[in-house]
Amino acid sequence: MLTAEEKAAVTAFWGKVKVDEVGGEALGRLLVVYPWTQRFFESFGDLSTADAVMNNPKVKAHGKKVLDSFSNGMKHLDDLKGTFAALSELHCDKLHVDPENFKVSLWNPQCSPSSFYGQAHVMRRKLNGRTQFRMEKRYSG
Amino acid sequence: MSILLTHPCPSPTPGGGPLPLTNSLILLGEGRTLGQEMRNKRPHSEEAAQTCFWPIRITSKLPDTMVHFTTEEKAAVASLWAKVNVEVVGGESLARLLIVCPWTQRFFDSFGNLYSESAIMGNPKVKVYGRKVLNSFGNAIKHMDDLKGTFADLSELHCDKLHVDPENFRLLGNMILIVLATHFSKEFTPQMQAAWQKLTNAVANALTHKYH
Repeated sequence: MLTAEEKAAVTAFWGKVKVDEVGGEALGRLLVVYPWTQRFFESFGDLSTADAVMNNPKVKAHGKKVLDSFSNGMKHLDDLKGTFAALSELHCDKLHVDPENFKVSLWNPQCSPSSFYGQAHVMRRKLNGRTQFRMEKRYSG
Repeated sequence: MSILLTHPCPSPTPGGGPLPLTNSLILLGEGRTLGQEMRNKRPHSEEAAQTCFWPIRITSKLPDTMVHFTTEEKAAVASLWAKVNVEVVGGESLARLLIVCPWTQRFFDSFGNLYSESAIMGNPKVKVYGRKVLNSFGNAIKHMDDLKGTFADLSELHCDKLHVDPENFRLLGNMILIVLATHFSKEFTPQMQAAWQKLTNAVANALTHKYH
């Protein structure tokens, strides 16, 4: 689990993140850098080029949704298991998403450069690891 | 390289059973023996032959699979590389690896003070070694069509002498991407990220190629 210092550092860092923008960009980059992930978004329309992906309104909307989820996780750092239980079931039972994709989607280094440094990086990685673990929980059952 | 082809059973079992796959390929690396796989996988009875998959050996050799970079990808990688300060980016990438993935410090016992983030970031041996690693990447960029050949010696070294888990190559590759993204946020477009991700993955694979 995250220490009190780690929680404070992550929360402070998250306060600087523009959730509306970062979510869409993160999801867009996922679809560009790891093109096999596009298979989950066939209903999103034009994903044929990097520009099309990054400007796609459905990508931006869904990216924001994903990052709002992450924000929710940030508010419940002591109970990530409970927070992500329903989402874990959804991704396993309905969406059939390979859990490896949680790792690549959470690893997206697009934040303000000066903030994404040192300890913030450590905390982020640890938080990502915990979030990913909780998302995978339903799959192992 | 030889390949094993898994062949689906001719007719599915009544009432269901395993869905027949289209033929799937199992690629084996050089040095792996097929005999053991064949013995393990051959069906042991007529009934099993009807219900399970078993391998068919294809004896013709296929060339090694190589990663192919498009002209655009090579150009993108080269354009960013031209701006990289190898000592700064290399040193920071290695330092981040040691901080963010602290188990990697076990390979650098001789580097002295690695007890805090600031100690690691300021450690001169970390900077020197980081520069060495990134110079290796520079070599990769000059030989993007033959990464396996380029990294053959380094691969043997990391396996036989240094005993480094290949997963660490991927971790360091990710650190390099993160440092590039923070130093070159304007240039690090999604397309640039895709090209560099492909390169770091290919280098990690090339470094793993001689492992046994």
